[in-house]
This record gives sequence, structure tokens and C-alpha cells, in this order.
Amino acid sequence: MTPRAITNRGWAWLVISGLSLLFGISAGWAELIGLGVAGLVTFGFASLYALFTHAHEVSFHLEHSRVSVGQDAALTVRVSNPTSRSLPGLDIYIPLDEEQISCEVNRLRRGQHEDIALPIPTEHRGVISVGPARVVRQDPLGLISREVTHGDAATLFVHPTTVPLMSMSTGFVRDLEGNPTTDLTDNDLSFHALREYLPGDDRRNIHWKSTAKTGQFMVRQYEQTRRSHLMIALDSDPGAYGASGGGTVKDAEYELAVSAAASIGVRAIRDTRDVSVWVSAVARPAELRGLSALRAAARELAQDVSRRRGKGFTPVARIRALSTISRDRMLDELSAVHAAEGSPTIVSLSRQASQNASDVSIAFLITGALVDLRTLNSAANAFPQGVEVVVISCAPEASPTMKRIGRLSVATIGRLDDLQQLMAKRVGV
Amino acid sequence: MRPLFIALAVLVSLVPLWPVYESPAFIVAAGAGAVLGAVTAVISARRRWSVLRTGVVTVVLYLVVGVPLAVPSGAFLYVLPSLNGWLTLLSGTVLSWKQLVTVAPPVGSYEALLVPALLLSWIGMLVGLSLAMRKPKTSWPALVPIVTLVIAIWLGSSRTFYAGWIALAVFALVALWFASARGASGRARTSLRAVGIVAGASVLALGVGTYVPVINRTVWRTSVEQAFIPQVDASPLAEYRRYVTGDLAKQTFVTVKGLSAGQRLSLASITTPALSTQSAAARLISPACPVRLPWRTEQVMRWPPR
Repeated sequence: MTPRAITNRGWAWLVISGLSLLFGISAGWAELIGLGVAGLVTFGFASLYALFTHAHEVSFHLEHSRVSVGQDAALTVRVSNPTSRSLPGLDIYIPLDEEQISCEVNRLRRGQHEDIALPIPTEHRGVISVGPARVVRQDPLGLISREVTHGDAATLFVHPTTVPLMSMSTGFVRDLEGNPTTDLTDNDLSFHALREYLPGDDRRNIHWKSTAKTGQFMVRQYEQTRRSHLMIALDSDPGAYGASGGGTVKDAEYELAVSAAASIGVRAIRDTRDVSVWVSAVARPAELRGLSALRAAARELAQDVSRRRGKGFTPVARIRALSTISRDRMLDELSAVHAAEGSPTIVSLSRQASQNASDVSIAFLITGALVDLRTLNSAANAFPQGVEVVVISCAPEASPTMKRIGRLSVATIGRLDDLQQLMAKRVGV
Repeated sequence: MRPLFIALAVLVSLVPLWPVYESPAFIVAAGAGAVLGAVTAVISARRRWSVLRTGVVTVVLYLVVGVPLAVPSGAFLYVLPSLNGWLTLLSGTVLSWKQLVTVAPPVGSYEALLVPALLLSWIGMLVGLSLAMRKPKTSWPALVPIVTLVIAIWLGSSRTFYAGWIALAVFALVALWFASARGASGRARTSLRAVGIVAGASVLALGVGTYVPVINRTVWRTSVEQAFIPQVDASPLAEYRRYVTGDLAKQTFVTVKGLSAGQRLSLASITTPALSTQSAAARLISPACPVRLPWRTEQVMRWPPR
């Protein structure tokens, strides 16, 4: 038995039993001697539990490693009995980030196995690390607890909810560096096919060689090529969110913003367009405990003091691009973003993003409802001339509106469905 | 259901105080204290009172019911507190602990000497039950009966009183409190094993207790040395004169059964000529530092002494 197997309660039990025995002997108190002896004997019985381990084989796997918020995610735990005798039941705990789920296994006969499906709560977006499975062997009083881990940790991505959007055909047409789209036109760079002449077609597009061959007027068809680098900048500054209250309202606003960014990004990837998603590089503050938490608090305090005195400098808030290789990769990374103090403001975010991606043709700035028009305008001015800037301002429960100020469009969405309608309108513009 | 283990353990831990009082008034005071503490703790946990609020309610209740329960001699009609009773209660809250161990047991319901019993059961029950209901997953509630047991023994009699049974009862109740914590998954197997472990440990501890002699029991009572400073006290002879000729001449001092008229009773005898060594006799006849006679005594006083 290793000392690690003794729980805090076990240590307290041991110390108090020992002390009462010693004090009882020195003061001649039979009551305390009785307590001490009984306590120590109980501890001895309890430590027998740590001597024997279980012989079960435990493994688990996730049914799906990527789900959207609210979708069912299940974990299957398989417990088998490899021995040639019957094994008693046991409790299995599987940690999900800070929480854990547990299941009981009943007595297993030899060679038998049991599959247990456990639901994983997916109410919130995030990256949940699942496992490894722990089997805890504990005495009834909780003095000794010995645990064995099985398997490796798996990762479950809970993606933001997305809505299907209509294809967005914006961007600069007829560009050598552009990508061909599926939209057909009669005048572009990427040749698609020949078709028969119809009244109204431009005579300049008649392909005379084919006409001579077939005896009918044939015109050339092209695919539109567009250089359309679509940029999505997601504001992660907590100061921008929470127009109608703090706390959960703030979270709801931010979730709406993430979902909007995810929907636009998914559409763009499906359209095989260049897309880049920029978010704050400020990592989510890790949960600290004990000494390191104290140290972090002290560092923060020192920084705060030096900032107030005007000494030192506040580091420039960095931004980072998310991977947009595939839909899943982008959504995986969007699952992990969080609004964090110290993130760049929308203006700083747009400036850095436009520096990093110079060939942008359309930029979506996704932010909360607390940002005023003047700030939005200066954020839009960070982009070069000719870039179309669309601000999507997320304010849950607000009615959807669309404002145009010069080249800047400000769309307010109250629900994710509003985005669908607004984007459908934009196509006509 | 589960806090019941802690409540019972607190009650059992007060048993070592019985030989000090040996009076029904002790059962009334300790029982009422336990009930009031339990009721306060339950209401406080249900309504989520703060510590401050619970404390204020307890103090007010104590002032209201403290006199009839702990200072029965200071109450009108058994329930209404008199001013004098109140003052005794207040001073007794602080001083009665020391007084309790300087008076020869059994003390009965003399003056404010029931205050320690009332306070111990009240506060022990209040703290134990509050912790048990508010922090059921921690080990803190289990510490309360052990603390009250230690205080009760420390204030208690210098001779052992059912020590083994009290120890085992407290131990078993505390252990069952721990064991019932894991019973949440509803497995009878676990609790049966817990009962087995507790029973096994109890039997072994009883065996050890039977064969190991326990000697030299030291409690507060045995270690109290009453300071005797002759300069402070009036002369024993002057005091004696007050008994014979002064106001105290007509007062009933002691009631004795079984003596025939005219016979004399030796109240005290100075055994050693050196008064600097303290003797109970010197204090007995000196009201400046009176010795409280036991509430009742089975001892037959013989005259003339053999």
C-alpha cells in the first residue's frame, strides 16, 4: 500500500486515532483509549482494500468525436472479465474536464463483458477532454482509495451551432489569381464549355471554329473566376458583449457571435473560397489551483500596480488565425475560443488582421452589441479601399436590422436564423 | 437521516458528565439543550441562515430559557427567570466551568453549575448538526462528538463511568456517519461491509480495553488545587464565633438523619496543626471560601468516631 492511496479523510482518521490513543494513555482516559484502538483497527481493516486490485479490463470510446451544441454525444464503456472466475462489481469514473461521470458494473461471470453507453452533456460549446477511465477501489468508510486508470484521454469537440447560408458570390471578378466558381458567364478567364447561340448573346463570344464544324452558331461559356479572400474577424473582447446584462446574457451574445462566424466560415469553405478566421490569441486562462493560483494572482496585482503608476507597458494583444483547411478543423478550433480579458478590441483586431492578410476582398467583423458606430467605422477604415466590410453585431432578442454607412454594412442579428435572411438579401446587393 | 448519527454521537458523548450531577435536573438541562440546538440547526440549515443570524438566535434563546433550565433556583414558578437568576446565568456562563470542578460531586442543580451541561449539549448539537447538514461531504461533522466527548471527560468525574461503552458508541456512530456517505449509490453491499468493519473493530477494541488496565485518570477535577492564602481568609476561629453567636446561629446548616437528641456531630476536625497545608476542614468552616457539600451523600456519619 502506498501512502498516496490514503485519502485526506484517511490521514485525519489516522492522526486523530493516534492522538486519542496517546492522550488517553497519558491521561488515563479509558474512553479515548477505546476510540483510538477502534480507529486504528478500522484503519487496518480499510487498508486491506488497497492490497487487492481488480482484474477487469476496461476500455471506452466516443461514438462521435465531433458534435454540435445540443446534439447527442455518447461514450461507450466496455468492461470485460478476462479471468476464468466471476468478478465482483465495481464503479468506473470517467473525467470530463473538471466534472466526471460514473457508472456501475454488476458482477461479471467469466468471459462475460458489458457495454455501457453514457450520455455526455453537450449544452455548451467547447473542447471536452474525456478520460482516461478510472476504476476506484475504496473501503466503505472512504479512508483508503486506490485508483487505476485505463486507456488514454480522448477529445470531444462540441462545435458551435451553424445555420446553412446561401452561397455568397461576392468578390473581384475576372482575376488571374482568382478561383473559378460554378457560376457560368460568357466572358471570363476560365473556359467551361460551348453551347448553342441564343438570341441576346454577344456576337463577340461566338466560337467560329466550332460554328464551322457544327454548322450552328456556338458560343463559349466561362466560369466566373473571383479573387475572393473572405476574412472573418471574431471579437473576443468581453467589453463588447453584454448589452442587455452581464453573466449569462454576455455568454449568450458571445455564443451567437461564434455561431455566426462558424456559419459564414462553413459556407465559405463549402464554396471553396479562401477564407481566414482571426481571433484573439489570448488563451483561455487555465484553471489554477493552490500555489500557482496565488503566484498568478500576485503577478497580476504587480502588473496592475505598474500599469496604474504609468510604468511598464501593456503588451500588444496578439491575434491568431484559425486553421481553415477543412470545415471540421475550423469548427474544432472555433470550439475552443473564449472571450477573455486582455483580448484586442475590434479596432486593433481589424488592423492586425488586415496587415496579416492583404488580399482580402470582403471582411466580416463579428462583434457584440456594445460597440458603437464610431468604433465600427474606425475598425472598417483599417481595411484598404475596395474591401467590403460587413459588421455583424450580435444582440440576442434584438430585431434584425441592416444599416449601410458608406462601404460599411452593419447587420444586427438577434438569432442565428436572422443571419440566414440577411445573407440571402446581401446576395442581391 | 444521516445527520442523526452525529446527533446521537453528541448525545452519547455527554454521558461522562452524569456522575458529576447524578440528578434529574442534568437530564432535563442536557436534553433541552440538545433539542434546542437540534431545532436551531435544522431551521438554520433549511432557511439557509448565516452564521451570525444563527448565533444571535441561539444567544437570545439561551437568555430566555437559560435560567429555568440551568439555574432552577433562580426561576419563579419553574419557568420565569428572576433578575438574580439572570445574573447568576450570565456570570455562570463564564465562571461555572471552574466552579463545577471545584465542588465535590454530585453537585445536583446547585446555583449555575448546570450551565456547562446545557451549553455543551446545546452548542455541540448545534455545531454538529449544522455541519452535518451543510457540509455532508466533509469530515468536519465527525470531529464535533469527539470534541464534546473530550470536554465532557475533562469536566467529568475522576472515576470511570461506562468508559468502554461510551467510547464504542461514539466510535460506531461516527464510523457509520462516514459509511453512510458512500451509500448514495444505493448499494447495500457497501453498508453491510461498513457495519462489519465497525463491529470487528469494536470487538477488538473491547478486547484490548478489557485486558489493558487503565490507571491514573487525570481530569480537571483532580488537578485543581484550591489556593489557600491565610492572610486573605478570616481566621477560622472568628468564623466559628459567627456560627455560635452571630447571625448564622439560627440558620439550618446541615440536616442529619439518625442522630438522637443532644448528640453532637463533628463537622470538621483540623487534622494537622499547620494551617498552611490546606485541609477541607479549614475551608468548611470558612464562608469566605466555602466548600460545597455533595448534593447528597450515602456516607453514614458516625459519632463518636471510631
